[in-house]
Amino acid sequence: MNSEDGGAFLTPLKNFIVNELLDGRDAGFDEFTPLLEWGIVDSISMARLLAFVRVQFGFKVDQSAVTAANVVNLAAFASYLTRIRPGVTVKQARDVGSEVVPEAHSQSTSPPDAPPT
Amino acid sequence: MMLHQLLTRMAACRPDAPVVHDKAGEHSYAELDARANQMGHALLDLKVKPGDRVGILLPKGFDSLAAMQAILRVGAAYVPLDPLSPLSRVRAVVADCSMSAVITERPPADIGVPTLEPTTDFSSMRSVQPIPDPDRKADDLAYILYTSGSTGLPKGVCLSHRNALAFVEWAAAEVGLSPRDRVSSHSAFHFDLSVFDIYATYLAGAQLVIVPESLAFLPGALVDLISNNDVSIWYSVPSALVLMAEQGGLLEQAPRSLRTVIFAGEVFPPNSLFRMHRALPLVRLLNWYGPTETNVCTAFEVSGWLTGPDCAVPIGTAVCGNNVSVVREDGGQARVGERGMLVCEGPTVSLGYWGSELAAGQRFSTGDMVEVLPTGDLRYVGRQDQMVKVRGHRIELGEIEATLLTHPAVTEVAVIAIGSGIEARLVAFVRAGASEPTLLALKRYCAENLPRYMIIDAVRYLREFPRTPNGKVDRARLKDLGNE
Repeated sequence: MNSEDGGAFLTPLKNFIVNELLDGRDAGFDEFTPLLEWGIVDSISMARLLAFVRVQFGFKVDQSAVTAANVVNLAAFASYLTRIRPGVTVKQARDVGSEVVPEAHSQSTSPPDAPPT
Repeated sequence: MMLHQLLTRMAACRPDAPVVHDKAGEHSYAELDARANQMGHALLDLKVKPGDRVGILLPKGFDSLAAMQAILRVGAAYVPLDPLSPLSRVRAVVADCSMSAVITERPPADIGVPTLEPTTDFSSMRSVQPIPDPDRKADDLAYILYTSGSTGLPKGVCLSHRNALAFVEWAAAEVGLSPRDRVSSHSAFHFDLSVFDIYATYLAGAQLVIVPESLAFLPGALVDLISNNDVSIWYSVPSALVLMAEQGGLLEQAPRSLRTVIFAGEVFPPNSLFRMHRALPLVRLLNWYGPTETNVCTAFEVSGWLTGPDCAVPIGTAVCGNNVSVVREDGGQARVGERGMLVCEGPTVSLGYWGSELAAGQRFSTGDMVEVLPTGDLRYVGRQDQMVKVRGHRIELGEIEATLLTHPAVTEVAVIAIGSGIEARLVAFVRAGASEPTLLALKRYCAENLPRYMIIDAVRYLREFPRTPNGKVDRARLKDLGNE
């Protein structure tokens, strides 16, 4: 995984999850460990995770714009952060991933799997 | 009157009115009615008979609603299966009630019974003609809801058409549902809260707005969904509402469409409820109480009563034609100021558990301890056993313990719920063998064997468990340890 795929986010995020959401032991935990399916991230820890992103990486992620697919595992979440971090243009975002999120915390961005409005 | 006739009646009266709004868009009563008939004919082709049990392993939406109707129309009982549960648990439920078929998009391997796929087996080529009347009675089984069981296996609560109708008719009138209403469908279909969402909507000719399972942990998205879909009636566990208020902007957005919020399943933290009442003064707040075995058996109108942040909300008095009594430890009836166990009997009380002798008119001891208030209302004060509610989910701690005990590295285990409301956490106290398994390993093990809401949040290792004088694990001491 290179930095365009979220590599720059991976290590700090992994350390946070292992130390704050797990018991500090990382045996068996990697970027493809299921975060939701194994109950590592839920609605409470999601808020903590996003607060960590804001402090550590300096940009805010709107919780209502995060979909389950974006946090299915660490790789997906890091990749999502790469696409929405400030300074990424729509074109760059397209180049990196299929989902286009032009700004880091657009209030108008609905999750793709939300019911039609 | 049978439960499925609520939809057929409304499909005849208001065929073009929208009945459900899901990921695919709006569907009318006539569309749902026709789809249910197509599915019903496919079930008859598969030799599904009156009295059979048929599973539904589908995401919430048009197809799963049609499947419920189809199964009831052929005289069988439906069993909603949790799409997020591990396959081993799905198989256990399928086997437990000897299902004759499962309706699913992705047939799991080794499910052990025939499966039907909505996209292929219920094609539009099938007849939409009504299903011949299977000659069933209102006291016959309509559906089974599986809940956590203390022995380590889920147990199936069996509800009849009459049980559900007695509740739904009361509930729709209580809320004053009308065809203009848009009712949220937040609860998963294998939880009893969904019975109101689905059938009260049909009864009133209203519209159901499906909340996808994937949004359940995203409070901001849930609030947006209310605003964007003009939801007027919201029904969920308090945990979801607290999250929406504290992290999702519910109180700031104050969606204009919202007129009634109903909550059930656990105690609403008084502070949070008071804040909600102040921020949404025009929204009616209703507290409903009742385990899966009784549907809703008591209710309390919160709105005019809430005067401060320290008011613990009562669960109210008996509804739906039920009788509730409060039985003291010595067997006598509790008087004002006294506590006892809440016992319910009446039309909404279930037929019993699958595997036991099913009968209408049973009396159900809830295991919930309540206090009788001077007003005659009841107030929930706790459980008599090891059942807990964590974020609105009913959990028998013994079921998690029984599962963890099968992990090769676990020698002894006790699971305790620490904290309350949205802060509630499941902590496993473990005496391990040669090596201590990581929290990740135990979470994974739970995920492979239990529903997601029963995965432990933390683990503490002990060399010896604290014991009571009679040698039992001292759970009160463990709770203290968990809070340290």
